[in-house]
Amino acid sequence: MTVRLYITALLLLLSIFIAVPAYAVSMKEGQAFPVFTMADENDKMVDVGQLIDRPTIVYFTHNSCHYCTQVIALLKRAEAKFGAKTIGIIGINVMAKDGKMVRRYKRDLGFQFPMFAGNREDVLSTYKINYVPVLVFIDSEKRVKKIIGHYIHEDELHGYIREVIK
Amino acid sequence: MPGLPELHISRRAFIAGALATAGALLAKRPDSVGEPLALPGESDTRIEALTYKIRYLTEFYTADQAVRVWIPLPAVDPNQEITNLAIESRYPYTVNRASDNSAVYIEADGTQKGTCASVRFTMRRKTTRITEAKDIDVARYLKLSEWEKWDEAIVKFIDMVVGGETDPVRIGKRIYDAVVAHTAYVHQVCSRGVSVLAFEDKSGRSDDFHAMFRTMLVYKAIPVKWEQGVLLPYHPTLNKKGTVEADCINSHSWLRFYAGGKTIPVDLAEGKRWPGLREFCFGGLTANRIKFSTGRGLTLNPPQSEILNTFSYTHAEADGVPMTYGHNYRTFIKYELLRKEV
Repeated sequence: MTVRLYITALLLLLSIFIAVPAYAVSMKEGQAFPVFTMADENDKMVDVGQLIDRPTIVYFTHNSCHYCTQVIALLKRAEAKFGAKTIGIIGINVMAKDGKMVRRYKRDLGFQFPMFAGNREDVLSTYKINYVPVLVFIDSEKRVKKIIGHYIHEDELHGYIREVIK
Repeated sequence: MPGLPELHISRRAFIAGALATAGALLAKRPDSVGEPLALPGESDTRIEALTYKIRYLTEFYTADQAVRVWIPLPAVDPNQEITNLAIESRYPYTVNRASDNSAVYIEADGTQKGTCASVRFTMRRKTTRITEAKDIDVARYLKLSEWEKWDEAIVKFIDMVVGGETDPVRIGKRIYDAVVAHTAYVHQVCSRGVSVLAFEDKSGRSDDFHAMFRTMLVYKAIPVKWEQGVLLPYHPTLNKKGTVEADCINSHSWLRFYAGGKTIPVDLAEGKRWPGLREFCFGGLTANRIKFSTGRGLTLNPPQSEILNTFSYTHAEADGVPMTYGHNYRTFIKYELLRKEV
């Protein structure tokens, strides 16, 4: 009887951990940036956390947003100016369910930094992405330093980059 | 509204709203320094109808293979009369009419840079007011889209705002006032219109205001119809001719809900943006808009590769993948005001 109670209690405890969805953790300034394994342009599943090994900008966008394509141009110039070893850039396309749309977006806009398909309930709920563009600046401790939820000017972008790389 | 809790707007929403509002006001500043800003208000509500000559252009900026394009046709309803419709296309097309979302459909093996198609029409758009709801199957407007859900926080908010009120029109007004007060307007973003996220962030654009309102009314079993289009300039800033880009930034939604045998139009976003329109936008829609589509979560004819949230501007695909707006193509509405009825 005691053993059965123990096993039941253990199963209940385990079920709590198993039942908690990944997106119970959300994205907030000052906290660790939540990460996922996501599909790249070749549908290869990549642990995005492994890519955040230096100060990083995570950029949320999609194919229908004209402003967002302009931000891509700013990010390409920032990568050239500061260097890819100094600041990492990761794109998440919230319209893309798989690699096809990511592949087209990368080819159209001609950038090299990684981008992933982010049209997933767990991803969208965790990052709370209701609109784009959204830029997330992550420091060397993998903490969210700043979230910008609107179009950004180049000098403002460079200012935030200097903040996270210092 | 009495009884509402103190509203805390997130820092992100506040800063975004403040920056965007400042930007929008600066953008609208008249040339002569010191002249007061002319904001939309009573002069717009006195207009009975506006008649425009419209040219809707879809422009390609790149050449692509295996292209499919769906161009929305303007809706025809008692508030929107469409005449002189003419379609010019560089590529073969069909006109696929539907009760709600009609489209020009183009399929081409190869496309070139330049104008893909032009849709010309004359539109007489009337100011929309409360009308009798006759012969309308409202039950279908009780179905929520995948972007409209309620959670515990929304239910708590509804219960607090509605209290013991049972009259559906007054429930609608209470929720209208509360959502407008609760939510900051954000410019220059493309929104998904997710009710739970917009409610939590306390910010958004028209699709967010309307996703929240629709979710809350449907929770109270009040049917709400979603309409989508593009807003044209208001009376104080309306030039006789102009161009508006038809994209996700300028896409605009509004609603009609059904209560007490009436159809009640609402536009919470414009009610929020312009204090002079706040009371009018419950029960009224200004005439400076074009309606293109109805509902959310749309599958067009023939079906596109993925479900569309709404359909107020051209959707284009190459090799079965949505093309990149702004890079591959853009859409513009060129308007000329022909007549203003006051």
